[in-house]
Amino acid sequence: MTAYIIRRLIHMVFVIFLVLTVVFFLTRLTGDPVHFFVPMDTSRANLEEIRERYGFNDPLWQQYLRFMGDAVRGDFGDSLRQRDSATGLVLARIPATLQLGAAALAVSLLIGVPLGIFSALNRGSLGDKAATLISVLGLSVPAFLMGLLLILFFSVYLGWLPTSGRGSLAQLIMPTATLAAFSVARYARLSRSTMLDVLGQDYIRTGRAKGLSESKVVWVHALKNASIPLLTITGLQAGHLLGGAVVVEQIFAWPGMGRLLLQSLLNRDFPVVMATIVFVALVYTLFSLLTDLAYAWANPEVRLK
Amino acid sequence: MADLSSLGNLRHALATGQLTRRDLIKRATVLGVGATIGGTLLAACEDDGDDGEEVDDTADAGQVDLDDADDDDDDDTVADEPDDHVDDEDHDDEDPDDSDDADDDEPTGDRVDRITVGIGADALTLMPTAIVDWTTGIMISHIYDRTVNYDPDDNFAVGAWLCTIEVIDDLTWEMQLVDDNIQFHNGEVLTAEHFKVLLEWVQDEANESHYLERFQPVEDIEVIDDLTWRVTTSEPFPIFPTRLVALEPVPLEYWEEVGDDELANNPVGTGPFMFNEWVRDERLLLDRNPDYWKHDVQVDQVEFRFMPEFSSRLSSLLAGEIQIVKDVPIDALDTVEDNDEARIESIPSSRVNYVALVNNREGSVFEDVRVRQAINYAVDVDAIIDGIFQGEATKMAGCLSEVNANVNPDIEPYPYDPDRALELLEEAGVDPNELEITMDAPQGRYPMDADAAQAIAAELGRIGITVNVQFNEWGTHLDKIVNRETGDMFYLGWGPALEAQGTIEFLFTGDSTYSGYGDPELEEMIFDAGRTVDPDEAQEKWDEIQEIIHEDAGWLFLWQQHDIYGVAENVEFTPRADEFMWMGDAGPRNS
Repeated sequence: MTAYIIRRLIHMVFVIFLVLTVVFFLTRLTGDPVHFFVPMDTSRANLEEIRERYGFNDPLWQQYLRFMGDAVRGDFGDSLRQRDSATGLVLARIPATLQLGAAALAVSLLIGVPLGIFSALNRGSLGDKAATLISVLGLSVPAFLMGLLLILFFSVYLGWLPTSGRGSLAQLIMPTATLAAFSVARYARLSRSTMLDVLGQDYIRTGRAKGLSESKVVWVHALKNASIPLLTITGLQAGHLLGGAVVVEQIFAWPGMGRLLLQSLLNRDFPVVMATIVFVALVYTLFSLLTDLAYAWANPEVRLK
Repeated sequence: MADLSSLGNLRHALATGQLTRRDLIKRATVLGVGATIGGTLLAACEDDGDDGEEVDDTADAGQVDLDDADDDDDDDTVADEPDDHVDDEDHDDEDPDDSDDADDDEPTGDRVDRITVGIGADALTLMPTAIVDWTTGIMISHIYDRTVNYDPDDNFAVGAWLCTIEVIDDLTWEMQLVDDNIQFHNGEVLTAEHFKVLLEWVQDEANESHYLERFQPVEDIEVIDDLTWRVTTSEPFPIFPTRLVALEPVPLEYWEEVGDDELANNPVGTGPFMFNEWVRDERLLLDRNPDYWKHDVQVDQVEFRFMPEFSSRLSSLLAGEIQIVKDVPIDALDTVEDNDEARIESIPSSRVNYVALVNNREGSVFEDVRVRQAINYAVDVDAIIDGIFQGEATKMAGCLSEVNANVNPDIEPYPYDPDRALELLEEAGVDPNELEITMDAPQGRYPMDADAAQAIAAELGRIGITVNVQFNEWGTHLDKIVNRETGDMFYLGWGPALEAQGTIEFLFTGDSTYSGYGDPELEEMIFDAGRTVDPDEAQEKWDEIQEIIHEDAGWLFLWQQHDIYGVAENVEFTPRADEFMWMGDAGPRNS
């Protein structure tokens, strides 16, 4: 077990290294960043001097080695536009993103799973059809459209919820709903199908024949087995939530890391882009490790080697 | 792309009278919105229906709505300003007596509790005179005061603010504080020394101030007495007053005590508002300065709320959460006007839009002046302004707009005359039906830019010229321009352009990167005018230069943008041509 974890951690480092390398070269492909952080009327001579100072004139492989050398020590350099350390900027935004992500994950589980189970138990009923319709909507309506529609309805039309920002619980509701919509739907679909699968198994029939109460059959025996695929996608959902945060944070002016990533990409603020990406990669790989561990815990048949 | 060509078609129907303007806007909106939703549904279909075996976690990471004309992440602005009004002091008619008596006995009913401004981006720093960035500058100018400022009562010429400014000789300027008891929010009294120290800080390369280059000719700064300071320059520097707008003095004792970072994060100025709280990417909160030296401030709190998405800002305005947003898109004008909470305030801005006709590149069809003129005759700019902008743009005759202090008012715009255009092309030996030109245009950078570019292409299509519009993401557009890889036409905006030198010298000299038009003789004239300190003499030179650029059809001259604000009904706010969104003189509005 310990050996497995250590191996996975080494694996993680390798993944992050790869991600950094790919993103480094991709961002460099977008072009010269200098115009984005100096005034338009800067003289050519001055521009050249700035490129020199920041090392943008060096061969790409040199820039890459220098960057990796610093990155290993956790130093991604200063933001090109704001004169703050890129790492600091990202760290400052992590709590907001984690809060939103955690809320969305909780909502997805608390709504998605019961909804799926309900559907499975009432297969073919009107309620099941309604749940399926909602799921399909959740899966197919893009986040920015849903976000804007929610704002229009709940803020502009009804005036119930604040349009954007962070601080109060009310401000958390719409971003969470928007971010969670996709996951709720996915959990609902998945738990419905696995539940149906499990409910058809022999041991459930045995349980019922034994005279166990229906609720015990469903919530204890069936759910326990149905939960394994749910665990699997929970790990992957984490990545989805981080990705979705880019759009949701933009729409709801949520001061998190997704918005920082988008802004710095548009402004070619390379150090901030890299620092953000590392964080995303870290969360993603960590979650996938945790998922595997939880998987082994939930299903003793699984041996982690 | 299909929708845009249909927009072009609609535009034609309009020009030929088959369609009313309002219909056009309606239909264009439907087309635009239809395309957006269509595209997204298509994209979304791909992750519809799978039950989670494989998870595509990147599905919506890239779906950002790029359709709104809202990208207002801080335009690089060039500060500038005229020299002919520099020594009249009379526009400082606000009696600068200490108004500390004003707040105690005044009922708060005459004030607004709070104005929340929805703004697209956060400030990059709160240290004055460091970073050139519109958003950053706006916020800083609420806490600090400018040395001199554009005067809306004098067509936005530079006038006195903290200081008056006077020309001593071609190389010497003298500044005089308008009041001997201007205090920082912590009580420190502002003196001439403050200006000297800050300007020297700017000149120190180690501080990497963007303004270093803009103050390049400044050689020596001398404090004469507590209220008077002088600047000596290495060459005539008529644009100096404009440059001074950005100089906003900071309290020296405090700076000394707390250092650079703390000053930037916890600013103390002389301005109408005092720093309260700055939460990155969230908001900047400022409190009313009860002892503001210049006038009584009628707003108790100003909050800048950073909201990157325009549609969110608009919704917040309509929901009554925020009171001011800038850059309301044309297709949202009715929405705001129809709302009980908000109204539209609009003003012709000093920012100009044009289409460059690249004449200084081997093989460009625009090397021939007649072709450049033909383009100007062939495009019906008025119709575009009416149809696409609902009138919210102001036609420009030459390269400077009406609000530019140095504009030559005698220049008449090219009339719409397609026949004349065809004649000119024939004279030049160009068959319009054979002519194919690429025009690079940004999308969402300037108001209605994509639609306008498409309309211009359609106009030229009417005389047979094929114009292929290439839409670029802003960064790519800028790269193409800088690396001279655009088509022979490209669409660009520039501003704030309030005086001649900062605009003309920057745009039309050297290799004319951003204007695409250059001429060696003209360049000499521009350098000469830019070194002429005497205002009248300089004006004559600028007049002639503008005539030449107009005659020579240096651009396809388009329009001044209008700055369109959405403003809450209970707030009095006057927009300004210099893009200075300032709450210092905002107040309650009784309607």
